[in-house]
Formats: sequence, C-alpha cells, structure tokens
Amino acid sequence: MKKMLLALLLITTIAFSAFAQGDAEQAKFPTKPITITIPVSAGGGTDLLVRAMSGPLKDLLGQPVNVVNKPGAGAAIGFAAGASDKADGYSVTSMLAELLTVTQVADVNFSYQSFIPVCNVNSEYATITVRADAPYNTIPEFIAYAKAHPGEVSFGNSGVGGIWHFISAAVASEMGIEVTHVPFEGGGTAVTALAGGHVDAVCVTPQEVEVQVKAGRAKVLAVLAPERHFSLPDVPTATELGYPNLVFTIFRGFGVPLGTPENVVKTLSDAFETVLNSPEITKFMEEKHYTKDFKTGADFGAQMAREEKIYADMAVQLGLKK
Amino acid sequence: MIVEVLQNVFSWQVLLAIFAGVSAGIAIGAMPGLTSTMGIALLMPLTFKFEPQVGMMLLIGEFVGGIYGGSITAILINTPGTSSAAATTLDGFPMTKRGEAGRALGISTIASATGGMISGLMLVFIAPTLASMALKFSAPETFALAFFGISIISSISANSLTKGLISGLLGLMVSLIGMDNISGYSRFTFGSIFLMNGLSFIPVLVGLFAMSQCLTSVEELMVNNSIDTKSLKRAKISMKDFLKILPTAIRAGITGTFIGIVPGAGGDISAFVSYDMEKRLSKHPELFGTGIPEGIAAPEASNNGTTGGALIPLLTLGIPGDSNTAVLLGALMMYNLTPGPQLFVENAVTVKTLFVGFFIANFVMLTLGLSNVKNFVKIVNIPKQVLVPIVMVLCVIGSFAINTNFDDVIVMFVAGIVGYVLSKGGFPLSPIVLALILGPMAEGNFRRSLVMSHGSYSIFFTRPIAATFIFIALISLFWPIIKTAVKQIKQARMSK
Repeated sequence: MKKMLLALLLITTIAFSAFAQGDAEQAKFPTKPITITIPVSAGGGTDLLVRAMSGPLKDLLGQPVNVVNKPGAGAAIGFAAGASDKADGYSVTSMLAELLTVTQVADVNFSYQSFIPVCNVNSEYATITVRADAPYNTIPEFIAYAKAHPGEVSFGNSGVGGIWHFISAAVASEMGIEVTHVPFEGGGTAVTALAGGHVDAVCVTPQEVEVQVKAGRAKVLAVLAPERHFSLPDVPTATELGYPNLVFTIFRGFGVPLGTPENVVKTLSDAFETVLNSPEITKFMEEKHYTKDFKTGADFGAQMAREEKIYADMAVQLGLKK
Repeated sequence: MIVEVLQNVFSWQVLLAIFAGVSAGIAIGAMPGLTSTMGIALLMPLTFKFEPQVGMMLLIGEFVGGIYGGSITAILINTPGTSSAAATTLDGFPMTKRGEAGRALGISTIASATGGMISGLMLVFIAPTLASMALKFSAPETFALAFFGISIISSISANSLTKGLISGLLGLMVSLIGMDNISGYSRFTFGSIFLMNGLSFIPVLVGLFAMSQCLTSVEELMVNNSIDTKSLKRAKISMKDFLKILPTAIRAGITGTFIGIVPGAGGDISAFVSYDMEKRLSKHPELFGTGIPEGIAAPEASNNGTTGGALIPLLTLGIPGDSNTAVLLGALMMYNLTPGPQLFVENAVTVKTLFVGFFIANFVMLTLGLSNVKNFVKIVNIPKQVLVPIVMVLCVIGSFAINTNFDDVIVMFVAGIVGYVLSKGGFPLSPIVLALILGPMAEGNFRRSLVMSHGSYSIFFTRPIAATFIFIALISLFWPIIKTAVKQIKQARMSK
C-alpha cells in the first residue's frame, strides 16, 4: 500500500513540475512541445483528424505535439483560450467555421482576426436534406411546396446562432421561402429528429446524413458547395440551380495568436502541408471521407473574410446581432 | 456463420480487448470526474489500427465497465465515480457505514451484470422492434420524460420533502446559467465566456459529492482527533441477498434498457427512475435510504441496462441513445460500419461478434468485480488522513481533465463547499444532481416543442407517449395528497 501511495505521489509531482518549465529561446523552432487546442470535444470529426495528424507532425518536427480539447459554448471557450495563448508558435488553435458564427451571437472578446491563419486542411460543405417520404424531390418542387405552405416547413439546426442555423436561414432567404427554425443540441440530434419525421429538413454535411440516406429515411436535394460531392454524384449544387450565393465552407484549419513571428508561421504551414500530403494521412482522409483542401494562410484568411460578411448580414436579418 | 462468429469472439485479440476494455472502464469509472464517455473518446484514436471487432469490443468493454466502475467509489466513500452512480450512494454508502461494504459491492456487481445481460438479451432478440421507439421520441416526449424524472425528487428526498424540494430548486436554478440554446441569450454569465457554456456537470457532481465528503471527513478527524478504525465485518453477499435482489435487478434492467433506447437519456436518469420505481413497489418504502440491498440493486442494474439499450438504436438506426454511444457512432463510421438495417446483412458476422462480445464483457465485469471485492474494500480501511488528500487530488485532476479548463476546478471547489454546507443542514444532494441533469433537458425540449407546434400546448397531450409520461408524472406528484385524502374519507366512513 505504502509503495502505491509513494508512486501516486511521485506521479503527481512530476505532472505538476511539467507546468513549471521556463521559456525556451525562439531562434530555432520548434525546440519544445507544441500544443494544439481543439475547441470541440474529443471523439468528433475535428478531433479525430487533428489527432491523426499529430503523430506524423511530431515525427516531422522532432518535438512532441499535444492535442488538448477545450469544448463548450459553441466552441467559444476554446477560441478564447487559443486567442489569448502566447504568440510564440507553440500554441496552435484549430480554426473551425464556428469561429465566424459564434462571434455574431455571443459577447466574446475575439474574432477570426485574433488569429494569424496558418493554413486550411479540410473543407466540408452543407446539404439540403429532407425526409425521404416528403412530397418533393427537387429544389424547385421544394420551393413551390414551401411557398404554398408558408412557415410550415421546419428546419432543424444545431442551436440558435450555430453554423447550421445561419446556413438554413441563408437558404430560406435566398430562396424567398418562410420556414420555422427548430434548434437542437447539435447537428446529430437534428438529424435524428429528421429521421423520426419531427422536422422537415436539415442543412448538415453529407457525412452527417449518410447513415439516414442509406437507410432510406432521408434524401439530399442539393449540396451547398462549389462542385458536386464525390459521395453524391447525382445531387446538384445550389450554384447549378441558380443560387451562387449558397456556398458555405465548413472549414478545418489552423491558426496562431496575432504577433507570432512570420518564420514560425511559415515553418508550421510547411509542416502541416507535408503531413497532409503524406501517404498515411492521405489514406486516413480517403478512408474516413474527409475532403482534403489545403489553402495557404493568405487564401484561408480571404475565404474567412468573405464568409464572415455573409454571416454578419445574416445575423442582423435574424435579429441575433448582439 | 456461428463458427465464424465464435472464432472471432474467442480469438485472443478480441478476448484481450474485452478484458482490457472492461478493466480500463472499471478504473476510469471508479475515479471521480473521469467518465466512461471520456474514456471511450480517448481510447478511440488508439483503436483504428485494430480490426473492427477488436477495436469496437475494446470500446464497448470500456462502456460496460465504466458504467459499473462508478458504483465502487459511490458505495465505499460516498463519491460516485460517474453520474450514473449518483443514485447508488443513497443506499450503498449507508450499508458501508454499517461495516457491510463487501456485501454492498457484491450486490452492485451482481445487479450490474444482471442488468447488462438483460439489456443484452433485448439487444439480440428484439432490437429492431424496440428501435422504432427511438424514432418516436422527439422534443415533446423527451420533455415529458424529463418532467416525470423531476417528479422523482419527492421520493429521493430522504427525511424532509421540503429540504429535498429546496435542493431540487437550487439545482434547477444552477442549470439556468449559460447561453440559452433556443434564443441565443446569455443568462447569468456576467460577461464571462466560461459561464456561457453553463456550469459543466462533472465538476459540479465531483464537488457536491467527492469534495464535500472530503470536507466532512476532515471535520470528523478534527473533532474526534483519532484515526478512524471502523472495523469491517466480513460481510459478503449471501444467497438470500441474491434471491432478494433478483426481481429488482430484472425489473430495473428492463427499465434501464428502455431508457437507454431514448435518445439523450442515459444511465444517470434510469438509475434514479428505477430507484424510485422500486421504492414505490416495495412493501417497506421507509427502509430505502438506510442501506438495503434493493436500494443498491435497482440503480446499478438499471444503469448497466442502459448499455445494451443505448446500443439498440445505435446499431439499427445510427441514432445514439446517450453520450457514450454518440462517441461509439463515430467509431463505427471510422470502421466503415454504417449503422442501419444493412449493417445486419452486410456485416452480419461483425454484428453477431459484437453481440456475443457484449455478453462476455458483462461476464468479465462480473468476474473482475466479484474477485476484487476484497481489494476494493481495502479503500475503506485506508486512514482518512491518507485517503482524503488522495481523493482531493483526484477531484482536481478529474474536474480539470473533463475540459482541460482550470475554471472547472474552481467550480468543483465552490460546489464542494456548497455541498458541505447543505449536507450539514440536512439537505439531500441527489435532488440537485437530478435537477441539473433534467432541468436543461426539460426546459430545452419544452421550448423546442412549442417552436415545432407554433406555440400550441396541445403538442404535449395529442402525442401518446408524451401524454402518458405527463399523466404518470402528475399522479406521482400528487400521490401523497391523493393517498391522505382517500385515507381520510375511509376514516370518516369508519367513524360513521
């Protein structure tokens, strides 16, 4: 018993001493472990991708890469923590599309401009998915039905001010239809409600509705992407249907706090690109249906600036602006 | 096919995965703050290099063991390792205080395994029939279930109903903190981003139970100024105990399975519901809370019943029944095992392997639990001076680990002090936990229902499942009043 206690005590001491490490010099990068903050919980799509990348990243940079989840408040907690981290390149934050929406509805002290975009690695796109037994099979039929029944068509989303709320609101406004938005605790629960026939439509990624589409409980009417989705080759894009504004990127990239030295950002960006194109990660992403989409920091920043504007307008329209 | 399945299950990789998963689950579940959901999420990336059945069995074993593990510390030191075990403290700890820790652990182990096996049987034989139930559950039904759950506060309020209701109300008020999901409005956050998320449930639970128990122990040490040398009776579970808890465990296992199927409701809710049900069915309801076998068996069989129950909609519909299976859904997708009816056709062997593996996991849990009762009980023998600091360190680690956020540690300490003061004043702590779990569920789904019905309250009474639950809840709320009224009428007639 005594031995066990001693061991416990030792472990605790070692664990705490890790926090006490001093600052290392910065000329060479990296010379100490890098921490990637994920603002969503462990086990989700973002978490799995970042954890998969952290292994090869460690081998490439020669330093341990720690992955830390700081979920909560629509990812605001993790972004806030990441934005206030030290700007030395050892604190990297996983930048997600929520960064552009949570700032519209919540009183937070950060925005997408609190980070230097390092690069984008993966992009998913939304769909318009409806119940399989719905009386419409195409977007024009859907619009005609919604116009004949104003306010009756319900869209499930992942919470007021969440990304799917914004996107379904944009869909309704572009198509000129009146719908009811029903907020759920997350995208998954909204899809469950669609499968059970409790809401009429959801705007989530093809991955999230895959199970229900295969089971014949849901059908996808359109994808809100620049081009058709590989898993749904027969489903048109909104652009093809005459709605070029309906393109929203559910991006997954990386950022560092403002003030991080330029050469450090470059080193990180190169490292992420190399890892992304490694056979190991390429295979991982293909098998798990992630769409690889490398964008440089500059391109990534420009894309965020464009989409942020749309979300900001949307927030005013929806009366969510704080 | 049977040969193939058996070959799969009895390969050393799968057996090792089950054993490792269950052991890890028990250890993680027993530690305050570390939950089975977290265990599954953290183990998941490690399993991708394995064969699907090996990886899935590791995770399912972890799930099964984690739900059971929480009861060990709940019984021994009044500190539920997971929220599912919060109801187990009601009778588990009083039995330990009588010196019968071994008996309590034996009961909880056998009840857990019974509950798990029952849910397994239902999973194998009537999964598709039951699965459609999950689809019928939407906002109004979930609200009705939560409303029914809240009415249970009256039956877990120990001695004073008033104090129980005050505790429950406190829990409901705390659950209001944070950004409201329906209107996007921040409530009681005082501009803090941390509070926007609401108080995390685990740190509050750990503080209320574990930390406040530590404070109570410290006080006992200061007052008595002597080492606690409570002698342990060599109590073991007897055949009589087993026969006594068997009907309870079977009923609770079935209830647990059904609640497991309901999306969004897990082991914590089902444990309380079964406890309440057994108390109402019992011939001696007043003994509940004093450390009786049924009071331990009901919540334990019920929370392990949710394991199989939650797997039913997961495998047949791709709908997770609770937070654990939400992570498991991610794992299934990673293995390209797309849940749904096709899964049972295309991957029949894998599915059957999981089914058989699920029973083995429960058997491993039973064996590990029973053979280690002696070792677990030693925790009670550790002098308080040594045990309390260790538990305190675990409290800090557990609350920090859940979101890697130090603010959660502060929440845990505050909850600990509040819990200590409340229990000094004779306020029961379980109603706070129940209200914290059910408050947001009731509120969110109530308002969501009204959005769906465009503001019409009829949605709660025109849908059969919702109406039934609301009816049961109303009866259970007003039962004491009805009972006394009936008695009075009878007495009046007698006196005539």
